[in-house]
Amino acid sequence: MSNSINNEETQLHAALADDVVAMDETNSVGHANEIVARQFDAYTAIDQGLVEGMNRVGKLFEQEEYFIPELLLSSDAMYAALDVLKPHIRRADGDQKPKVVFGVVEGDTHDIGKNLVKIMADSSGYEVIDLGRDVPPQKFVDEAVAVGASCIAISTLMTTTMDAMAEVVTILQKLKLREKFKVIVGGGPISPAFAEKIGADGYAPSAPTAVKLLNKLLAPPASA
Amino acid sequence: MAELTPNERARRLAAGADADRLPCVPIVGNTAARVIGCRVRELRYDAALLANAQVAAYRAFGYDNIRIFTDLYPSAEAMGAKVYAPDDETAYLALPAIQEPGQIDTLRPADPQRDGILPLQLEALRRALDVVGDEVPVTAALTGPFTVASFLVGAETLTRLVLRSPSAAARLCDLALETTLRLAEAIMDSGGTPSLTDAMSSATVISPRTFEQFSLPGLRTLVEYIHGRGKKVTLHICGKTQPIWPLMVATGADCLSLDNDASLAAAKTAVGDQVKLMGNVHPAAVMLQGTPLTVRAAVREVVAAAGDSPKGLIVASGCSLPTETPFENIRAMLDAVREIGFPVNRENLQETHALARKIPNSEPTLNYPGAPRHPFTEGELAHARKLAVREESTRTHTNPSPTCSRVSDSPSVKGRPRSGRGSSAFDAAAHETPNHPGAAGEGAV
Repeated sequence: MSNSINNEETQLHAALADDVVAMDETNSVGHANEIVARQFDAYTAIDQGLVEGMNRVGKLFEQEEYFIPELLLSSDAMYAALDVLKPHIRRADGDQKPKVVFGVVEGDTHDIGKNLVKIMADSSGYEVIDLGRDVPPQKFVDEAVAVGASCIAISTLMTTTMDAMAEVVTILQKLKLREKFKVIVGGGPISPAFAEKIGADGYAPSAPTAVKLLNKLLAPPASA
Repeated sequence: MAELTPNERARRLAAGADADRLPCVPIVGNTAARVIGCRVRELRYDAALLANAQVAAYRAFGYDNIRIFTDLYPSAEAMGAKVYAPDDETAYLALPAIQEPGQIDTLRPADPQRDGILPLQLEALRRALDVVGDEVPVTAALTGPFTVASFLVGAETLTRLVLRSPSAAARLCDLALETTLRLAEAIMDSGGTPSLTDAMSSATVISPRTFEQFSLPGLRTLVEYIHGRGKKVTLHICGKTQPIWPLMVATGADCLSLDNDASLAAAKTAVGDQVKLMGNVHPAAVMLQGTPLTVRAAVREVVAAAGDSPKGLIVASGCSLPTETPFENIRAMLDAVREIGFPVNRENLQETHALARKIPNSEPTLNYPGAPRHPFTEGELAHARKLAVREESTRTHTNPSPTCSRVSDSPSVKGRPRSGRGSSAFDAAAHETPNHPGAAGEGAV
């Protein structure tokens, strides 16, 4: 009996993961509701189902099987199911998640790339504080201090706004806070050389690699 | 050979004759404001100033194509999108024309003679043509329909629509296409050539399948129309493009302008016998942040990779140049192309190639008549060596940035006779961007 229940639970996890990969919001919500109705553990379902699904999506994205539209729809399916499952999480684990303050720098309103990174980080166990777009350098620092973030992640797609990225590092240095936060940068015009030049801790060329970079720079989250 | 005018050069190259050098287009966008000392914002709203700035930049650097361009948004703006133009930076999209797909049917195609800043762009085009039209091709940037559609409803919304509601996405693209066709007509009525730039169609953003479904039909219609009026056209897409090269060729474009996320050597092999290639010196890492030495090394890399491409090569930046690109780097790009000459001087290519790659204790020399001598500092040389090493180590991997300089500001263009040796001057153009993703000049998506 318990084996077969385990088996059903595992099957539901697999179905959730498949729903995310299939960009199927209707089914992901249906399966999440089933998890809740059967009183299976919500946290495990998120970890083994939704996060697993997004990991697969991330791989497909890296392999150029999936592109931005596919990634967005997969994340829609993931978030819809997450909304169902979240209220039923029994363990309080939220406080342990490393916090990452994310934003697109001042003067740049392009934010697809940042949103992708946010989605991938979110589904990899980080608590993401999204400052949105057109964020002044000082605000990155203020927010990071206010929430006790471990990392500041800055994105841009326009070369005109690259200096604002350097400004964030400069402000941290001035306030003698540089050691408190990792700073990572990304976006179209950014190169590893630029990241190095402005004194950032790292650069990532894509959303999945940004999460790998976070994992490398920060102690990996205990769990998703 | 004495320095030719761009039109003379293009004619000679098209005829298969010798020339002084390869065509070269550092894609100068709002850097033109720095040339005449005005604010970037002024260019957007003053046609005479925009024409003056672009002509002055052309005269200062001597490149092969003038492109009237301020940002990627005039077409979408003319259909109701809100654009924010900072005092001294490239404008950006503040708000899409509609906030939800249900409002698509409220949109109307724009009238280029009346709506937004389109009349100003056309006037700037005419003014530039009046002044230098007999010596250099003058193009006007024409943002591709799919990219315009993304500005009409918002990039994220459009990318969801293509999968979730393909018919709504197609309706948006059709509306954008109608505006784009009207603008193409107005540009050609003014005597100029449209220069297509379509950042959102990058494989950094959408799949080849999505491109085929939503980007290709509009681009093909535009190219056919432009060809029907006897003009050649360049298509610029920034970010990753290798998976869509055959589809870009299928648009009928005469020249593909690629950015640094693409390998020109691979493009030469794949499609070089069908289209002219244009690219792809890194607009930010090399043109903005590099030195004259690194720029020259990068130009040599480009020529070594595709200088012998069957349908020709235009040495260009991968995307619109960042506004603050140092003049000396733009000059160095032209200098490097002059040194290499045409037919390409392989020896010279090797020599300076080796210089950037190894240890230049000797100064590089410029061997065209009247060339300035550039003493390079130790710092520049060290930087060049570092760059050469880094480029070596990253050469083989494809760089997946989520947008151009990517969806960023990318641009471009240049046309050349489809037969490869047609007669008209190529009309180069450039693009902006992203860069993406990827983009990444200014402007990308």
